[in-house]
Amino acid sequence: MSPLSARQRHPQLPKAQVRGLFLKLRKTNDKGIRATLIVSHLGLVEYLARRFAGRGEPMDDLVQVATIGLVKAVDRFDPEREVEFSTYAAPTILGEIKRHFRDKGWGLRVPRRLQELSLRLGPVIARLSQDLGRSPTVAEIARVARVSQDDVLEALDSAQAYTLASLDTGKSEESRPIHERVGDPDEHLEALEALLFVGSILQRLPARERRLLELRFFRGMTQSQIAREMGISQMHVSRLLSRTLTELRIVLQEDDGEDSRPRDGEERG
Amino acid sequence: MSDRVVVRIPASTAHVALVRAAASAVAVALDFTYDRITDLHIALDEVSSRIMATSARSACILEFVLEPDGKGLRVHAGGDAPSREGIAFLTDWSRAILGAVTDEMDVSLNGGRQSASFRVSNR
Repeated sequence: MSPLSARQRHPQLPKAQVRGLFLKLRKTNDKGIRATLIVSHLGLVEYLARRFAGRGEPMDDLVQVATIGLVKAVDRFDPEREVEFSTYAAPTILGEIKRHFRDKGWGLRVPRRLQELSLRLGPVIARLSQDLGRSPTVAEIARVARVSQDDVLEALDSAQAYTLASLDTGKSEESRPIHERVGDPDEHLEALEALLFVGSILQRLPARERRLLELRFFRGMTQSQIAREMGISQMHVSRLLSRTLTELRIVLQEDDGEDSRPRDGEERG
Repeated sequence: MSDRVVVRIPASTAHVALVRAAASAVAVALDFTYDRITDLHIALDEVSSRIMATSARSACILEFVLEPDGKGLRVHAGGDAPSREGIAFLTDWSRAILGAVTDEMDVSLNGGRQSASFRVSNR
């Protein structure tokens, strides 16, 4: 049996129905309506995420990030305006994907040399971790990769930074209707439901990020062990951990009413 | 000669990356594994974030002392402003994170200022 496409599993609703649901949502704040609106636009999410495939980020990460953009768009959309929801949502979703590629707080443009080295180091680290039975040191990585330790360090630090210039040249398929462009299976409904219905901050994270945090901070597994357990690279574990913690920190502090955001520009002294 | 490194930065999240870079350089010299360097970064991020979240608005400088101790790195971190009243320095979540990524962790209150010390071993 062939897998269902996103369109088949989450059929897009007629425009009039979408508008009607939004009007009702704004009046009632009904979670069920909100979920219906989100699920019915997952095809759009997948299509937009797919435009950024092959740029060094796993597709499922991109879809998760894009889904967050969709949720934000659903929460912010004003149905009284004369614009269709999909037109409104696309820039929000794209913005979320691009933000994902950006190294938050620094916006560094990583030299191509480091980007390439960073990509090359992933398999080196994986192989060394397997051979050594532990995470390799920087010296060990440098020796196998035949580069300096400084280069390794720079490449590892830059692993989270992506340039946006190339992202903006994503394949353009706007001339085709969206319902023709949506594609493969969606595996994120569970995470999405958690985002929608469970109150705690942790429960609002995608399932994989929740699992990552659980394995690292509550089961005490090392990143190398997590990489093996989850079938992803150690660099990817590191990147996901760092990103998730940064996002959580912001959300938790906003929820606490604390202010630990950057104080640049604030009067000091 | 002491191997102690002292880094002072403006109290902003953007500048914490400078401390991470300095700590990475020291960690490489101590032959840290890649895992442990990331753990060190996570600990620095968390402690910096909590100092900024709990100190008075007049806080402008964060100071980090990085001290190699043979098989690891001891870090002492503090700000130059008194703590705000009514906010716990470490949340349960912070404790869970720091407990997982550090080998030792201690917080202290001196002259109304909160500071934290932790140690991360090299493997």
